[in-house]
Amino acid sequence: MMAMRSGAGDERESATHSGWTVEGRDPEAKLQASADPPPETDAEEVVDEAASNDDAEKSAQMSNLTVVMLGIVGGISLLYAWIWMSWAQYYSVVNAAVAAGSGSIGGVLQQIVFWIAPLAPILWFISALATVRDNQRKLTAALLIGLIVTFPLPMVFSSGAAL
Amino acid sequence: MRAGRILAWVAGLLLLGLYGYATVAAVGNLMGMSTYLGPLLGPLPWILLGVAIALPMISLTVALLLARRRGAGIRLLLLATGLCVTAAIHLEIMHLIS
Repeated sequence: MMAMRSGAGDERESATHSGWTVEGRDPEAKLQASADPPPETDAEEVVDEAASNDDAEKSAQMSNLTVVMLGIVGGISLLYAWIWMSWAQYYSVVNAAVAAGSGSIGGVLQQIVFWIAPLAPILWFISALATVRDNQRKLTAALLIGLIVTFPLPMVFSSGAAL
Repeated sequence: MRAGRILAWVAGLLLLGLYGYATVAAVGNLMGMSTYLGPLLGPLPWILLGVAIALPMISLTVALLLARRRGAGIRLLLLATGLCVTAAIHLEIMHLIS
């Protein structure tokens, strides 16, 4: 059989690539070396490391599909917020009239309650992510409900007024 | 730690005040509508105005239920979300009626 040989004494045939040789020690020798761990490794350290590895895996375990869904829903939420903002601007004159007629404190409250409306889709998205992030089904359901509840309905009923 | 708790309570009470104001504003809206164009309104606007009054309480209840056994930050976030959704739907109702 043809084989490249370097001339060093300890060569063996590669199991995965027949015809090639692997330089280095005997696999059995390697196994033995890794079987007994170096004496300076503390047992507690090993446990800690395993635990932190588990944690990292759990928190990072978000499937590709979920990430794609988060991207799409996040984008739609931003779009919704934009549309809501244009509607709030469209009605801001009406709102200012209402605010002017409801006293000094009432006017401020009216303005706050009116202008926070565009934040609804964004806050819903953040809330869903903050509360049910670990449960993929619940996350999907929460995001879908959010898309329905915070849908800018004025857009459908008379298009052209604001957006 | 204690300052944080006080701050969280103050923020929560402010949010509650805004929920209260949203209810009061919805009631005022209903009263104003009924005085100015009461006879002109069909059944749907009346229903919508009623929904507008009930909405702050509904969303507050839902937010508090969902925020059970969670930290103060999440609770405040959910309360704020409920308020914003209420505001958005109020805007929607205003648009549908006017």
